[in-house]
Amino acid sequence: MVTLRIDDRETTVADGTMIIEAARGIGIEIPHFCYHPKLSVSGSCKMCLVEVEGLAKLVTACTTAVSRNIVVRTRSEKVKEAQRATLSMLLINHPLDCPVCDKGGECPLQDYTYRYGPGKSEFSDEKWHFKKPVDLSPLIVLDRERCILCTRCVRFQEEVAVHPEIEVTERGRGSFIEVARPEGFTSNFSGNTIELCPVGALTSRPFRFKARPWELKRSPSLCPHCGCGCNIWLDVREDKIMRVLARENPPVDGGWLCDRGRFGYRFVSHASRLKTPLIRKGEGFIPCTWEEAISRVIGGFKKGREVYGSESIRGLASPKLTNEELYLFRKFFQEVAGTNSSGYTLNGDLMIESLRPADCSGLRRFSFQDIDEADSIFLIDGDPSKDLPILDLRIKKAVKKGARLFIAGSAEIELSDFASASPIPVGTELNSVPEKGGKGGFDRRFSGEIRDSKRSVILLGRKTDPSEVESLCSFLKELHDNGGGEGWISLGVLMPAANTQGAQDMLSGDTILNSQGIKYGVPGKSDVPDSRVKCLFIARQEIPDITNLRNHLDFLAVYDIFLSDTARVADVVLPAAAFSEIDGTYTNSERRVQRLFKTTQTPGEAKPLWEVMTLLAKATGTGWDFHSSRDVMREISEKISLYRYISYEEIGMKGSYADGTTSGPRYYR
Amino acid sequence: MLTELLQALGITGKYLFTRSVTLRYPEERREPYLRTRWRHKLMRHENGLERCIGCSLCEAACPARCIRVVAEENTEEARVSPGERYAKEYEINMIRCIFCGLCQEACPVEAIVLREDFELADYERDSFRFTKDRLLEPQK
Amino acid sequence: MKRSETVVQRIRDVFPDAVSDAVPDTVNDASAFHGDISVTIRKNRLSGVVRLLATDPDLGFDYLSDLTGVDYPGKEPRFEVVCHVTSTKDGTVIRLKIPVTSSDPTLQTITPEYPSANWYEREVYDMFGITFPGHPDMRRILMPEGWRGHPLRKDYPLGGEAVAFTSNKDFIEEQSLPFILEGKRNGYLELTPDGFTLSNLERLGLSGAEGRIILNMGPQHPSTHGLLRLLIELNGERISRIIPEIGYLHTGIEKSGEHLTYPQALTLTDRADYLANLFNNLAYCLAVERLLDLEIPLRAQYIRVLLCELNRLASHLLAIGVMAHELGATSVLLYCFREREIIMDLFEMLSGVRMMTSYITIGGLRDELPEAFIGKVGDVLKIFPDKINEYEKLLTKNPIWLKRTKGIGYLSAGEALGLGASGPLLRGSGVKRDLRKQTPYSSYDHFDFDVPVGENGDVFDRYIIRVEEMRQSLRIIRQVIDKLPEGPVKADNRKVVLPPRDELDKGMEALIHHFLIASRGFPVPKGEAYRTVESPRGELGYYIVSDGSERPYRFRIRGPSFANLMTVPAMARDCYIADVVAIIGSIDPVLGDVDR
Repeated sequence: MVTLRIDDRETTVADGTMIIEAARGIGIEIPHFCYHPKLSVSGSCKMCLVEVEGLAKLVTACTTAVSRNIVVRTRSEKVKEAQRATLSMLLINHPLDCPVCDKGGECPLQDYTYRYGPGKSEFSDEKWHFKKPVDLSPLIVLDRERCILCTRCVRFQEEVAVHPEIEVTERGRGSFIEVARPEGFTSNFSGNTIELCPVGALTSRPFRFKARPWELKRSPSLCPHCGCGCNIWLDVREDKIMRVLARENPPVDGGWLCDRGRFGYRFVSHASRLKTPLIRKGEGFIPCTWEEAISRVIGGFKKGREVYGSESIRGLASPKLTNEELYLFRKFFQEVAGTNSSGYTLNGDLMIESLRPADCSGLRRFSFQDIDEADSIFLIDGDPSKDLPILDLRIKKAVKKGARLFIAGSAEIELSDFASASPIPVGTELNSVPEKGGKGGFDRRFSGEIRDSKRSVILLGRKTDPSEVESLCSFLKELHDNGGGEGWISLGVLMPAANTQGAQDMLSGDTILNSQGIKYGVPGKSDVPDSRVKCLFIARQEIPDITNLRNHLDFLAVYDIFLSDTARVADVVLPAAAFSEIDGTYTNSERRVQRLFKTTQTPGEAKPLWEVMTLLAKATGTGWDFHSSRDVMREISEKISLYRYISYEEIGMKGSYADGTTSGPRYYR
Repeated sequence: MLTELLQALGITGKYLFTRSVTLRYPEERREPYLRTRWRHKLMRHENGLERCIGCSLCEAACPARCIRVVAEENTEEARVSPGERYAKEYEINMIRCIFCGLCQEACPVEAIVLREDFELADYERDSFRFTKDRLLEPQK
Repeated sequence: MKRSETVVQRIRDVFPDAVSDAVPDTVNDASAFHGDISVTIRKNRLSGVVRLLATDPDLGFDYLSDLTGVDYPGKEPRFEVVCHVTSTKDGTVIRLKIPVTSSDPTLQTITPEYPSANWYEREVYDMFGITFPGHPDMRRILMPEGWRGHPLRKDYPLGGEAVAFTSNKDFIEEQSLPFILEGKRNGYLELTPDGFTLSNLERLGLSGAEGRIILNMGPQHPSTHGLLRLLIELNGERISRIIPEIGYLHTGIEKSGEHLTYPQALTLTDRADYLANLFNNLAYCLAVERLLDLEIPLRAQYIRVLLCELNRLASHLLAIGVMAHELGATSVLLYCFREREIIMDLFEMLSGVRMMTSYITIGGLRDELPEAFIGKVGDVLKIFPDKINEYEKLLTKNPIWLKRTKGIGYLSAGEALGLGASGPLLRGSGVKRDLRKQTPYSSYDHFDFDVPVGENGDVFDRYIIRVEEMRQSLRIIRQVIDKLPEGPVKADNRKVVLPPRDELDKGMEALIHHFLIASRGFPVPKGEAYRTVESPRGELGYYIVSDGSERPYRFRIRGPSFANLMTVPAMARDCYIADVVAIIGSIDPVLGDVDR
């Protein structure tokens, strides 16, 4: 630890800390452009110059590490002069774009010029010109005149995304950023460069000219697109989401967003959002009131029950719904409809069973941060780059630090380039005995690696065969028990949708969900729908072979946000609320429960599903006392022991694990 | 006592026969002053392009928050203003406006100005939402 | 200023534990900006300190300028009651800050020492919820009786209706700031039933007993100079009690100011005392410029003086005209307004609008004077002296006028000072206090002028003082025009003042500063300042507290008419109703700065 003085304040920091970080730790701002805490140090912009007593020249605070008892001054006359000079230099070729530039109002260059820069210009010559704007990709617009060549974008793509698709070209003042390969700037993380860029050089094409910072209202939310549960800010203007920004929650998302999360918001305010309930009339629909729609649904169910019995009524939920909605969904079908089945599907794949705690006791419950600390990472039948992209960044970072990556059972995936050994091919069963000359199963092949690693992370992807999971667990447990107690084995499942884990928890509670869901046209498994089902309620889910299924059903009600193909064949269509329109919670892949906040209004009369379920229950005569999703969560915490520590206050803005802890290792027991 | 009353009557009597200072509006009108601050106008350049570049500084400066700007990108085929950006929608709620002129001060290109037209009375409250078509100076 | 240190020392000597932390805050040049002294006083010592300040012959702080509160919700103690006391002998102002906790929001009243604290403390109760045990009349003053909540607290929502555009006109109610909806849900906007019942009147001491009539004058009344309500108890034809009720024009200017940037808040100041717009601008700008430590070029200071004196002329013309009209001399009203038109025209030539000019801005003036302006001001100087003589001929020796104003509405000097009167009202009672002379600001000390003082303290004296002040204003204007130097009209500080327009398409720095100042405003260093000017009605002060951000933390307007109206019961003892009209006219209140 090193003690030093910055601006007459004393602080003690770890060895090797740069002055700029030490200053930030005690709340002293040192202006900077090229420096970024998550990227390598560049030291090129010279904005962070500070004075160190005893040194004749000013030094850049981002490249200079602290040493014992140094005295640093960030507001001396020399430093102020240097700051003014640096900004003057940067502004010489900067175009007079502020009124038309999207960054205006939230621009570090503007803010530093106001706080540290000169008030008057001394430059009267011609500025350097580029052709502008240039589309680096369909999402990113580049303005080369505004670029101050801080290289944050290039460094990000190289170091963090490991997609080195943009580069600096030419030299001197003629340097500019361009796409480095003929395939284009297609990185799945390209949107982060927009937030990194300290000026208006890299801007978002979907957001271009839509709003100024002072017109936007910012609200916290969660990305609804995958099981990472990255924290986001929604910037809303006149009740429409204008853009999505990263709301850094480093244990979850590392501070980054993938492009799907960043640019996938426009569906919320799309004109074809369903606004009223619809009932079938002939080939089409007519709008109706909620009372009518609800009574139709109840009518359909009642008829089904009379004719075919309770077992004919089913509900099919989707992992896009919040925990509260899923809980009331199950509550309705179990307690009111009297049927014991409500399943969910993942685009046609059968769901992965919950890991049985008893099978894995002693193993660590997977947290994203385990990847950061692991020696070895084992991916089984999964593709994080497609399903949970932010984990892809985390794995790449771990591999760069020295972790070893082993891939089993998947076809060639993007991460294959980072693997330490050739992957076990598709179709090889996990526990098979090695054939003569052939490659062996997972346990045979990698047991040595797991045994040798102190800290291993095993991740099961969505293509894992559920029937193999039990034996895998016992294999791992045996390894762990014989391991000697040092280190750990962390076991997790890559849940692809935003609330897959939550759906599992809510729909099965503490019991294991066995494959009781609707078996219908699942490719390769069975193409005969469960003939018992006659009345179906589908919530936010699209069925690929719906016409086939529809022919077997008497009554179909669909709850969704658009009139999808599935909804088109329904008898009753109910308008749904999207993720930014409800209060609720999602449980991500590491079983962290995080909050969604209501930010925009539901279009027309659309309602969240927990309200719809309450109305359905009321129509059958059952009164529930739920006035908000907070009320529902209260009951969840009482009824589902896994969630007994969860409350909105507990979760706060950062989320907490389902067992109530906010950090630290958790174990299967 | 009488002298004072007579003196006073003298003064009022004098004014009985002088020309009154009242302007007989609307038949007689006064020449407006150069700086007069009444109805807003969105001005154009000499070549006919609109001055307004949709920067929304006027919206931020307005103390009554009565300006709304929605910006859009210029295309080469349909160019509205010089530069990259123009105001697709520009609206001022004239009832909330306090005619302070801060928007005029804030505009970097002298697009929004307050000029001499003050005859704005109307019957419906709704008609006081002046959209761009009512504010834009017509082409010459 | 050395005096400030002696004062603090004296307080410390007598009450060693009273001062919790003295923050002497003297400004550089005591002649240009009077020194600011802030002293934090412990709650339980307040009465003693105040008595010391008021009665000690060496200290002689005989005048209460302002008493208000500030809410600091993050801190404990949460509230701060801020008291400005002035010594009328040399103009020293002391700021007493008394911390009050939210668990015990009470503070001993200081009405025994300073009777004018009466309404100020009621306002603090109304706006912050701090009660003053011992106060003779502890009830709300600006908000209606039965209002729930205390509006100037930081957790009280701003309220208001959202601005309607084509995109949101169909759901304005949902859009409107939550207060209205929350208010309807929680019954916030319902008054408790206690309203204006007869029992209420009895609480105020008005009884309909013994043949007394309770007469309600206002709030809609042509002669009360605005929305002023007077509850009058008549004993036959004579007034036995008169109670002014205010708050009918309250529009929440102080709370709005906390949500606007400093340049935007300037537009609010015009509308407080709406007949003395430029004085309001000036006092506000002086306070903010003190916080910014901004130096104003001399030309700008002179022009500020010029504009203020023109405004004073306009205001006094209205005051005299309206007072005469209310007492029957309608011609005077029309003549005064005819002259007032000339000044309104000048303002329109200058800024584009006749009244709400917002021309005096932070950093100087909004713009350079138009070329023809000085010439036209010369015309004013040519015409006005004769016109003023004409008004005098119509009124001053007129027997009816003398009958109606001489000896009416007597106010002694002691009462005037005690009740916080200022301006012509105070000077009419013989106290020679004019802020332009005592604590000169904006280079008023560069000009020669006299300050008329009355002897009899009646309505007639106040009228004559106004007439004389008009003549002195003309004198000042003549000197300004003769001595007006060349130079810039805005301070040379790019972080506060918008850059000249021609630089916007040449220099990046200018464009950036223009963008940020126009959209976000500019941050003002942490601190507080109380600056006063001599407006046509008296001491007009602005107390601005800044927390370092772009918006004022506390935007307090010390309106002269607020205190002036407190003198009405003292003046209207035992007179006729007709005299009440004359008395109110001689106070010349503007309800804008009474109610804000």
